[in-house]
Amino acid sequence: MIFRKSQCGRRREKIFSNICILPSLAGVMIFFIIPFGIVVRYSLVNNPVKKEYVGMDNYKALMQNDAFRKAMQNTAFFSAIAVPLAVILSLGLAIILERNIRGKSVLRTIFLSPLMVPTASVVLVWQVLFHNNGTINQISEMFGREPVDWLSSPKGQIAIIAMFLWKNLGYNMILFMSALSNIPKDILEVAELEGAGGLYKFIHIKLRYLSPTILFVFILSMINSFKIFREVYLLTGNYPHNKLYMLQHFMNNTFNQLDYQKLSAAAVFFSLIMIVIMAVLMILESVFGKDVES
Amino acid sequence: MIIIKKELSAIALAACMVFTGCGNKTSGSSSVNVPAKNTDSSSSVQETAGNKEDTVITIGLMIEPEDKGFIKAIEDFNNADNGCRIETKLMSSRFEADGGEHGWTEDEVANVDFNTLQMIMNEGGLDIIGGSTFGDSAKYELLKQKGTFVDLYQFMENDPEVNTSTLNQHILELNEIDGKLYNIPMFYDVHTIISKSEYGGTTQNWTIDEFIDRWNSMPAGSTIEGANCAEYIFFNLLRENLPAFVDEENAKVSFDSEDFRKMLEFCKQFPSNNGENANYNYNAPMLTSPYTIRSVGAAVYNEMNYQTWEQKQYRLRDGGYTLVGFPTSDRKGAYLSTSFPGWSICADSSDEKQQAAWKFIRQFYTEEDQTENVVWKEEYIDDKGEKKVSYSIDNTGFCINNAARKKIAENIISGMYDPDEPVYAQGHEITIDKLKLDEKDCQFIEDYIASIDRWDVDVDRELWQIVMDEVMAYLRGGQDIDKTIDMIQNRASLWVSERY
Repeated sequence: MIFRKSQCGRRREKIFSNICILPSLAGVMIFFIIPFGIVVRYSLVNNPVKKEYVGMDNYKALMQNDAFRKAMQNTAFFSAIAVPLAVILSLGLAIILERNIRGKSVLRTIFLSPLMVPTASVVLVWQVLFHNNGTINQISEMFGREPVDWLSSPKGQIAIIAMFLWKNLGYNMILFMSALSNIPKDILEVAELEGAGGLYKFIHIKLRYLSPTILFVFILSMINSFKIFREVYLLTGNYPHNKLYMLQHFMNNTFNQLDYQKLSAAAVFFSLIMIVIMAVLMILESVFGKDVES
Repeated sequence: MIIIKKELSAIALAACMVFTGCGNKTSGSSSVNVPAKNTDSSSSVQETAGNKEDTVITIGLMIEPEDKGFIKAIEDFNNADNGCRIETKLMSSRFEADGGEHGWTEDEVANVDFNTLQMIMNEGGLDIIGGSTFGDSAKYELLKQKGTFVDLYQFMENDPEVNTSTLNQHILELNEIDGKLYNIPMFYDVHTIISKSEYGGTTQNWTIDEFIDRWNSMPAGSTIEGANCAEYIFFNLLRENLPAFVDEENAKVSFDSEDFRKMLEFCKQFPSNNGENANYNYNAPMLTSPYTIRSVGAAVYNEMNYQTWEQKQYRLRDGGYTLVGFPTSDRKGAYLSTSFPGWSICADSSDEKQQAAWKFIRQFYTEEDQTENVVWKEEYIDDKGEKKVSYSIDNTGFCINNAARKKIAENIISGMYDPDEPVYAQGHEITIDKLKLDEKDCQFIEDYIASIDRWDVDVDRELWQIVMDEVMAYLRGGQDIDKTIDMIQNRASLWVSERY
């Protein structure tokens, strides 16, 4: 009797919870699943007007498209450099600011302030800094160095990596600081009593406890790395130097040309890559952080 | 594992979020205020009662039409007993709420055009679309490339009055896209360059090298088209050679070629105007002058002397002046174009509506309509109080209808459109040493047009922007020629790779 009663109770609970989840599910369907389905559909047709099914032709054409390959290469390079730098530098900053140093809260504010500044305003300042006759070149000329055409040469990648780090370090640092403060102090004290050095404590205790946050910051930084298109677009337009040409340039331009099929194929392809990358990250996190108390 | 699967699903969803939110729409700001669409369709066209059984054809227009001929054509069509009715669907309005004219910004136009495109692609509802449906006619050209419209040849096959025999076939062929005709230009004109043979030689369609050699042989103090300004020369003369550096078939550009370098080096020898207006001097010897041919009357060139206010005429076929064309790498020279691209019929309209749409469109290509509309007439009262009519034959272009074009040529030869009154310029009466036009002059122009195989669709805006950004920086001393060429080649390569 009791068994049947608890079964009925669980079933009722399940039905009730499913009903409660319906509005959220409807929202996810309408705003994410269905649009993604439409994107997949567009990737399988010849153009957005005729909408004739062409199978995988768009994907084949995409792989052979020089502009797409260049965009992928640049985006991958940028993400491979900027994202790890963003994680490592922000972790470093968080560790430094975690200590009781003077001006800690002022420094925190300084690092967070780039987040509050509108992108279009920031771009104007960066233009002044990185222009051929800009501040950085004038300073380097004072030291006898040749000026660098930052925005019209491969060195532009340095400028946009710097812009990305400047914009995102603060937020990542806050996330790490929060995670660092949640590491159990007693484990660190025990380790110290046992004679563990600073490096050992960092690698075997702090990093393990930080692994979920590192994963989260990594994923967030990766998503933010694609948004760098905004700054590059405002600085250099639709067609920058080919080293600054990102995947979103390709997508934006194909959108303007009504080549929705190319745009959609690129989006689906890159989504699949992102899913693989994130799956690998999550597996690494689950292996590295498995002994960590939740 | 179950937890990983759930988390993987969440991350997959996040990835979908990022990429379905991709393709930042940087064109068309949704926060721009534009005049509301006029909900009364055909507001500038008198409403007709119409028969409820009439097939209704919808024409898309960006704003209320101004062309009285077009408005009358719609009214006449609707009043005729033809089983069809035209309605106009306006995408926006030229008027503000208070009745004043709206001043359009680029963003506003882009916004309206974006909404129009989305409507056409997703909802349909338009049967006839043309350049006037958009603020930026490049959108119309884009839709043509996407197969939005029906091939008009299928209607012309069975039409006794409007077909490939009665219309200029050369022009029709130049407007084909993959063998299909999506629009028929009503009138067309020729854009070329003319030069006194003494300076420019007697060869039509010169190359960049020939042009530079001819300039180097000009007497001191000479000008190119009246101005010697680097930007002016590039923009008005050498720009037309840009298509020579784009190989669409192989998705390659060749702005690092010798000819492009020569073009830039040639312009650089002239001073930059730094964005100011160029200084003109029409009294010095001119190597070239722009020449737009809109009627057979252009077979005779008018050489104006601004000191004696005398105009001397030269027959082009006699060789005193030569149509040298724009300097190009491939001797393409001149190009044909139109300000009246006509209309296209949407492929997603029903067969009945397509037939009805053709009934409306075809009227613009009949001999009667073209003869009537190609010449602009203006009535006025002369000094003696008599009613007179002045004619303007150089505003529209050549009729695409063969019979109409021939009729107009005959009228021009007979002097029907010649002005009765003296001609004045800057307050001075012009003395004209007039030559009488004849059949051979008309044939000269017709042969010249037949030799032109380039139809002008504006150089792609994006490509133009890339070239202008770098060329202007070079001409104004901002960067050297190697950097300029390298940047244009670099950026244009991306542009062409995306498209082809």
